[in-house]
Amino acid sequence: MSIRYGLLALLSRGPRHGYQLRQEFEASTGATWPLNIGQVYTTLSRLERDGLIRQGEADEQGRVVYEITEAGRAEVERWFGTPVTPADRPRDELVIKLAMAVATCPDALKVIQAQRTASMRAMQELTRAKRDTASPAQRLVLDSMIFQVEAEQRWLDHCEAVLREEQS
Amino acid sequence: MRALLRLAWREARRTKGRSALIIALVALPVVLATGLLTGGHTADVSLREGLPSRLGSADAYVRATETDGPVEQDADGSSYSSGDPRAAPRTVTAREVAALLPGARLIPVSYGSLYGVAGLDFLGVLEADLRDPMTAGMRRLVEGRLPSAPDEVAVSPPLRGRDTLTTRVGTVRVVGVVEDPFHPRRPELVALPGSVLRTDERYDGESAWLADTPGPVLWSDVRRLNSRGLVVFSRAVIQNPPEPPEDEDPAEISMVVGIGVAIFMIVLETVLLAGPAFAVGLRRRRAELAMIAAQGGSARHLRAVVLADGLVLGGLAAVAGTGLGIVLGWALAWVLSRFGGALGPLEVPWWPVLGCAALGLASGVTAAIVPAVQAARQNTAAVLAGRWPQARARAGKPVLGLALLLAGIAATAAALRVGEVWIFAAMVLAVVGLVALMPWLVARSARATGRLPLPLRLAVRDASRHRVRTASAAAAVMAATTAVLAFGIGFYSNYVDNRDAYWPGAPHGTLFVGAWPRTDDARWASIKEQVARRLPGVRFVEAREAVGPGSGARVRLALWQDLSACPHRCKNYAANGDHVPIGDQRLLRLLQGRDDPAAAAAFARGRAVVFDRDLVRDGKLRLRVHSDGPGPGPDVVEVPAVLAEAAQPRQGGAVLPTAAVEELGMKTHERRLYAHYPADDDGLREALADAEVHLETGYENYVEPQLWVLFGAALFLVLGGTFVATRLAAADARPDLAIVHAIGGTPGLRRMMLAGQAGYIAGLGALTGAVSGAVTGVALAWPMTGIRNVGTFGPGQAWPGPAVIAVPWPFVAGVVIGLPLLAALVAGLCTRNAPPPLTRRPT
Amino acid sequence: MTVVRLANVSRSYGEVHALRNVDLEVAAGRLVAVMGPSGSGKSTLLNLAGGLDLPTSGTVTLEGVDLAAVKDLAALRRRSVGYVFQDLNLIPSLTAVENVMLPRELDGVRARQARAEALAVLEEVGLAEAAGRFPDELSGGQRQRVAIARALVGERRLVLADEPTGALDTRTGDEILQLLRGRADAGAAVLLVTHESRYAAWADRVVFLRDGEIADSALLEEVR
Repeated sequence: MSIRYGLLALLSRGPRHGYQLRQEFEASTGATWPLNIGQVYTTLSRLERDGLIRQGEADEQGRVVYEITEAGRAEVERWFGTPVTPADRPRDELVIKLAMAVATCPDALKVIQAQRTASMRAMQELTRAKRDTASPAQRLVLDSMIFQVEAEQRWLDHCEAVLREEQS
Repeated sequence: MRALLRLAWREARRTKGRSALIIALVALPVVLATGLLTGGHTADVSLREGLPSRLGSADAYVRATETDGPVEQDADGSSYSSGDPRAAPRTVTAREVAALLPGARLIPVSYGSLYGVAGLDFLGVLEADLRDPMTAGMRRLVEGRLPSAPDEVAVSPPLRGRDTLTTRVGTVRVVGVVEDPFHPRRPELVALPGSVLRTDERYDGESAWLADTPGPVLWSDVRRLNSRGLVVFSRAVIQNPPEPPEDEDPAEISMVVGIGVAIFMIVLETVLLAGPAFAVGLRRRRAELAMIAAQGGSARHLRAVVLADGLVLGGLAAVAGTGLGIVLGWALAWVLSRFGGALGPLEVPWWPVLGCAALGLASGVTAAIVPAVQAARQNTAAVLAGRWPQARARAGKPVLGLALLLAGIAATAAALRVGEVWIFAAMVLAVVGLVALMPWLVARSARATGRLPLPLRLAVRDASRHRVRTASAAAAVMAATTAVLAFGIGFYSNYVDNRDAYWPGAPHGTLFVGAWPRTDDARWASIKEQVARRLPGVRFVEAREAVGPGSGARVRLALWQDLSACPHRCKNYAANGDHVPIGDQRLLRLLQGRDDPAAAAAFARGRAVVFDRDLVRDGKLRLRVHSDGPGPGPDVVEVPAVLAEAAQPRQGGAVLPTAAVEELGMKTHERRLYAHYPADDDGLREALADAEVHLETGYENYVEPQLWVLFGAALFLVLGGTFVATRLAAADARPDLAIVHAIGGTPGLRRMMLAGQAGYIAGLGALTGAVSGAVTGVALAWPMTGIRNVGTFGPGQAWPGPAVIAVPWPFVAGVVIGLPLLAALVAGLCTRNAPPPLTRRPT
Repeated sequence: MTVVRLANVSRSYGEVHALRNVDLEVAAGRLVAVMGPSGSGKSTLLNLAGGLDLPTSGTVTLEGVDLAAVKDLAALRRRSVGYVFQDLNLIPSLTAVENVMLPRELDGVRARQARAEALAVLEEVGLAEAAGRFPDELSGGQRQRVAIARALVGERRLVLADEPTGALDTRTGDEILQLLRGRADAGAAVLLVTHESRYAAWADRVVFLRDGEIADSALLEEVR
């Protein structure tokens, strides 16, 4: 899922061909997520099928260039605007999203804040659940989730601080 | 060591306020002591300094004694002893003296005094021809000219403005003003030799001269003159004494002890007052000291850091105090000289002054000792971690303190019969004991505060937490209170004892006019006439004086008391005891204030009427006979007497009928006047230059000035000590008060808390001081009142008897209760109203 | 029912703007947490809410009363508002129970009654047996609990806590938050400043401050 949106986000900056996309994706995610070109092309064809991208003209070397459609742009915006919930994501999703946001999105700070608020809400719910539980084991499980969200929040704070410093 | 001093110096500069406070506290006694020493020595004109005033430019001053037998004198001729009492009285002439000092030129000179001239009880007189070059330098002509005729005189500046003066020889004209450079404000009259003084008014007997000799008058010359009955004050001898000037009496041991006690108390008080400031400084430097310890500083180093602090501040205080003291001392001497004192050149007694400076330095270091020991003992790890420091140190050494206190009380009891100084030494022991007990008392009293209202509870608890600061200040108050109460009770007991022993020989309001010795009849008549003129309508009763049968010299009849007969101490009959009134029935009636037929009858029969039972033994009154003229010494005679009641219950003495005196073989003549005239008249005194005028108004000494001075000293020390402690408390309590403010306390709370602390410190100190002060004061009453030296009325003897213990209750209440309340009030008024700023972490 | 409301409140010190146009409301029974980096104005917000400071513009209303019109703010702090700070909460020379009765005594309540109230609250926070001890005989957590007890004594409606868990370990910190939460549930309004999200999560609403302004707030939906 996240590769799909990652490529889409990259294309929103301008037409690219497959290899370029792969390079940029890896650069943006810091070589922790190596992509193989096959995955890239499969995802691109799916995106084309969904109408989010279209093929553009070939460049002088004859490689196919893709460009994003209006629908695609809307989708990217929606993706950025939607915080990741703890339920439906591995942690990685958050990392990628944020990396993309920093690399591509002009208002990354807003994204960070939104994510943080959502995390906080989640933590509040977890805390309430913890209060209401009598069983110590259940409490510990909730605690583990709380701690994880806290770590995430800490990292978000750190992103924000670094971003601010770079901007000034 | 140098690093430590530098550290201390920087620290002193950093905390200017605290440093200034400590320097002021330590320097104050140094300034006072140095000032008094310098002033005293400067004002004291030594013989050598005063030479010009006494000799002018002459080489020697020679005076004749009554005989021409050999005399022994000391270096300056101020004391001498006649060798041979059997030698015949003789007058030495100038020619004989000149023969003894070949080549000398002599001019007559004389010193003396006049009574009752120009409204002064006492007027010094110098008879010398100031125009003679030999007297150059004795007096400086300031105005007018020098006297050149027997009826001309010059006066010193205090008498400026008069044109004439009346003396017993007549009226003289004032023609000029002269000044003695060393005694600029002393009243003095300068006249030509022989013009003003009569023989009995001279100090130097029949004749004295200034001598100008070709060579210096050496000690051998002096001895030569001595063998002819002459006493010599020689310039050469003064400048080169034959033997080293006699040491002052080797200090008696009690004087040494007394000075030691005084020094100890002053140093103790200074240390106690400066202690809190050092303790607070220590607290601020805790982190710094912990870091030094963490870097490897040992306990000794830490102690040295704090002691270096004391050394630097003490040193500064000593230097500043000494300098200031010298300046003040000179100023003091100069001011005193304007009021008639002497003024020599600036003289600084270096050894005592340096001693005072050293004591100041020692005080500074001593005050730093307890904080230094604390510094070495602090828990480094705790301080570095920022944890609250342990306030639960051991509370001093109460056992030692109690032991010393009890020892001091026991020593006081033992010293009762020995002397004042030893009682003070015992007091020091008790005071030191209480100082050691004080931390324990401070810690203990905090426990009893559960039920107090909030500000006071907070005040006492906070004070107790900062134990060193509080105990030090309370101990300072205690020491001051002890000393003040001890002196106060002692003085007051002494005063009451003297007051109660005073039994005047005439009723209150009796005016007495008496002739000076050797007044002749004509003069007496003139005096009576003047009195009648000045006080018309006042009825006077004449009284008489006894005179010796042969010589016509006055004979004084004085009341004689048997020491063994006096119940506690012999009464003091003052003037009328020294010179019993002699007269007729009218005098008796005046002294009794009423008609008493029985007494009058006895009086008519030649019996003395006595108003005091103690004076009569076996129906007889005993009198001592003193004769003013030559003749055998004092004798004791008896006169038959009766007892009667005087005009007032507290009146004593006796009155003699003329017949009784004649029975003793003496004659009488009229020389006195008595009247009931209770208004004092200075004009009368001045007009009657020749007579003694006295109004009986009861015991005339006052103890109030002494008590006020003591109270002032207590005020200064108590308020000063609590002020220091309270200021420090205010600074220390800032975080606590910030909390109170945050949770809704009013600014008034701060005031009440600080006032409460001041009151607590002063109150604790005053109460403990009251205990030791009362013990010492009561003990002092013994040597001050119980041991009497009854010299005048009988052979001088010490009379150990029960003591009079009088406690000046208002004074005691003022010191013990009033001062702490005042301290609390002042502390409350002096705290500023601003709430402490909220110093929270800035976010 | 709103206990404290900040309406368009700004606070500046000369050139420095500590708070800018802040709107905040804390209702009874609610725990609101304020988070932000240092310099964001959290403590200023708290001081304004409690009447320790007055805003340069805007109004602060406490139980319907505009603080600017109140003459005796100190009385307010004694009766209506309770404070808990990160450290230096207690007066070292007073015992625990005396510290807790302090606001009541300052208000003029008789000592005996104040002591009874204080003991009751100490009981609530579980420190009844430490009543007679001095602060330096208590652990950090115990001290904070005493401070909270003091903030609660006398039925106060608003509790302001400035980093109350700052110097404490996790377990103790949780206990503290538990106490505050319990108080909110019992009907008080609690405003908590913290930089630890774990503790902020106890709140019904978490407000994020950035440079003196409210950047966002996370609201826990009502489940009841």
